[in-house]
Amino acid sequence: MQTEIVEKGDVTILRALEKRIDAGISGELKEQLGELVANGRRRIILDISGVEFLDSSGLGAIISGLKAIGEDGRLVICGATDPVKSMFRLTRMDRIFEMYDSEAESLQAFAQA
Amino acid sequence: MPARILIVDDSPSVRRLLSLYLKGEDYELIEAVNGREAVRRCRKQRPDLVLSDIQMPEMDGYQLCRRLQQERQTRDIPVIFISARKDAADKVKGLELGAVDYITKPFDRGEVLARIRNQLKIRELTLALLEVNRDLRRKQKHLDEDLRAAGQIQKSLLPEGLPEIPELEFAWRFFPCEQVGGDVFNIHPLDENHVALFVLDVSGHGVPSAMVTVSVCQTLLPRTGSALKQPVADPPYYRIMSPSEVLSRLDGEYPFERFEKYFTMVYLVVNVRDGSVRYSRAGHPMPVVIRRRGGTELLEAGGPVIGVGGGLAFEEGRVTLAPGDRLFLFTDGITEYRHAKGETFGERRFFRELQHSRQSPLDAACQRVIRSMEVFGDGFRPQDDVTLLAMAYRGGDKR
Repeated sequence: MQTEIVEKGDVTILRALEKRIDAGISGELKEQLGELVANGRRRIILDISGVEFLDSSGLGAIISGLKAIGEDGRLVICGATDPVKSMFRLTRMDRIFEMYDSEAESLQAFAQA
Repeated sequence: MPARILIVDDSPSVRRLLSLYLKGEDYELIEAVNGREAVRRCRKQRPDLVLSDIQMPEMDGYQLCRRLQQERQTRDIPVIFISARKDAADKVKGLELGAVDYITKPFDRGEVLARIRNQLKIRELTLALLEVNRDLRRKQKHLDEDLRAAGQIQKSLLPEGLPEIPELEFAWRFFPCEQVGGDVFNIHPLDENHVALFVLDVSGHGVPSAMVTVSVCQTLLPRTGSALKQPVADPPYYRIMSPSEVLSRLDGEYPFERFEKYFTMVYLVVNVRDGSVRYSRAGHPMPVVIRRRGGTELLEAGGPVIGVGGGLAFEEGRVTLAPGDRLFLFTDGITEYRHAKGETFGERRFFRELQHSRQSPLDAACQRVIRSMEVFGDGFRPQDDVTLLAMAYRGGDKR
């Protein structure tokens, strides 16, 4: 799975550069999130603004990231496109995850906390 | 074990010379004076390699090659021709007949040994490959058998036949996209007035998801567990758990970390006397009510998927069915079904089919949805497990 990692102070931005996150590549997303956490990153923004389709295994990968980061860390999702947003709404995961429209808003949220 | 080499030549001096060349090597040598004898020896002694002259009385080298090819037990024995014929056409003919190499007389010891070594190496590798292939096929067969058996076990979790509840009519369709799936559903009568229905969809599919469905189904058995009914001290000595209680309990018992899986689910309890339904959904596609007179209503109340445990409540909703109203539970294998160009089947198409068939028998309504998916997808190859569970209310005065 194609991604890009950008560090902004102590916040790590993981940008997903795929249009679809499904069973084929969700395992890699899970690994990449797991690796960031294992390397001590505790403040992560997952940018999915380029993702048009996310299936249940993709959502599973993000949940496993949330679980890995634990209570003392923070995983924020940003840039969900409309179809992905509606998937989060349907599964009520929009209430579990902290979600913002842009990276700038996400960074601001981290700065305020 | 040394490799066994059969030398075939009508000339004793050539046979002697070849034997001499090969003597210092770790080979077991046998000889034949023409093709006919060579075929016999090949059948009986199974050499690893044949070195053969072409022109011989009774049966020549070409015929020998042809005969060896014809029989299953000798087909794999490599033949190297040794001949004075220098024409390219002769070499081509020999190779076409199945010879693996060609040595021209007068031959040099180094060349003969090198070519023999090459062919024996190839044969050894080929045999090893065949063995590995056989082994793989055996393992694949075991896996296929296991998967088939797992599929059968999973089917046994589904309701056996149609439950006989006078007030309710049921129909369903279930298609796992592999031999086993991550979808499951069931119908459990809780007492004479209440029936529980659920549909659940474990993330991912295949064996790991299927095994989670087995575990959850066990938990949701009304007779063995306490998830659906809890014993109490006073008559009637049980309490029917509310949908939100059932989902909260599952959320506690199946945290994501346990199997690295979450699941979505709808659970509802139907009161067959008055047609009232209490329900809650955990991140699952909303069930749809098709009114006898034509309305479409979505059952929205609920909470997040099971397994994230964010402390969010599973809100409960109520709806009352009138006689003739229908309720459909389904998994996203229907609405997310995509055709080759990527368009999804979608809710609107799905609900329209349910509306159009509301006067038809319940089973025909289910069939109509599957038909419509077939037409939409130009064939029916679901990418995800597909479950559709339909219930019609006949009224509370049917006993």
